[in-house]
Amino acid sequence: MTDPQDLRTQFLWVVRAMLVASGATLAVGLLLHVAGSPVRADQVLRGGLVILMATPVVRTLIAVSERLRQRDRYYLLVTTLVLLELSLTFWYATMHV
Amino acid sequence: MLPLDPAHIPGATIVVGILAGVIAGSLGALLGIGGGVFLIPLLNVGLGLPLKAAAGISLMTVIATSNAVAVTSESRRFINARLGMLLQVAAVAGGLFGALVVQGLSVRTLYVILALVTGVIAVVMLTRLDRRNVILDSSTDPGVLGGRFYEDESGAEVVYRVRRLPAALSVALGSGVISGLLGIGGGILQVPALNAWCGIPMRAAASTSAAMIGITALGSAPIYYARGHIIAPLAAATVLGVLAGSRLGLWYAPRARARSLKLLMAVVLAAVALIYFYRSVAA
Repeated sequence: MTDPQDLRTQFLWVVRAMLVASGATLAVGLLLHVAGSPVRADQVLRGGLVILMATPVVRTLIAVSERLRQRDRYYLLVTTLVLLELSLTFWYATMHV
Repeated sequence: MLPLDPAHIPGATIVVGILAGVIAGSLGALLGIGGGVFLIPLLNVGLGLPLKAAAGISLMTVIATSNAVAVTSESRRFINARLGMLLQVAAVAGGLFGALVVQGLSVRTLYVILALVTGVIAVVMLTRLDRRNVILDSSTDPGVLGGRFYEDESGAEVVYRVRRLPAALSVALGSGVISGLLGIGGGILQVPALNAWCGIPMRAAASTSAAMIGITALGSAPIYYARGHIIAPLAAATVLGVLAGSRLGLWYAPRARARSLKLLMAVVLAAVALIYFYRSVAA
């Protein structure tokens, strides 16, 4: 039976690292904001939010690369559909900034 | 309503944001529903944020919680990625649709939608407190989309099949739309429906949903971000609070009993429904 689990252990550190990076960036940005430099704080905070939003995409890409090695075509097809939908969202967001 | 200038959020407001995050994060991780449904009332009613700003921040915390769940071994063993990714096709489409149409809806309409959604789910949960969708025979074939996991409470391997896939897909689409409209993760709809209609055990439904709602939220979060609905300092405070809170919730989750989880979930949802029925009348 195909392994129904999400991520294989050897790539979990990438997602963990992004989680820590976004958390640390947001914390630094928050401290800058409280310390009274709102412009620099805003730049740092936006960076943290972008890392946060990128994490599920990276998670999905790692999962699909694992499935490729297992020749799980069903999973590849389904994930490609999801990634196409997400690129539609990103496209709309960048067009309307 | 508080006059909030994104460049100068007072320290006290940031502390309240962190606390709201801790509360929502721990409850959300405990129940596998992302925490957004608790965060929206806390930010909207408690801090006086406009609903769209609360929704934007909530989407960010949903992404953070979901990431945290996906790397936690306690939850990972319950996650059904094959089913989750299929449901995601419908959920992300719903999220995109919701984020696009939310601009044209009145605040009152959104309050009514939030009240109806949470009210219905509270009733569903209360009527299903003692149901278990598990097959305690590990020789059962789980099929293409089903799964298996070891359950501590029964001390045996639990095997389940997925029933009524079209229903599951419709639920995912609907929860995606709700996620895009209100900023709640969508797990609030998915977990009880997958459990009630599709035969997926509560733990598997909750963990699978918690792992996938981060991607569902991504179907609408960039649009909220681009429209300027996400107040960065408050989003940061809340996200950090939620990350701390979700660790707390996940730490406690293995000790929690399925029945008490459902009861707690139903009571909280009923309270949220009442708050928003009142607000829709008062609006």
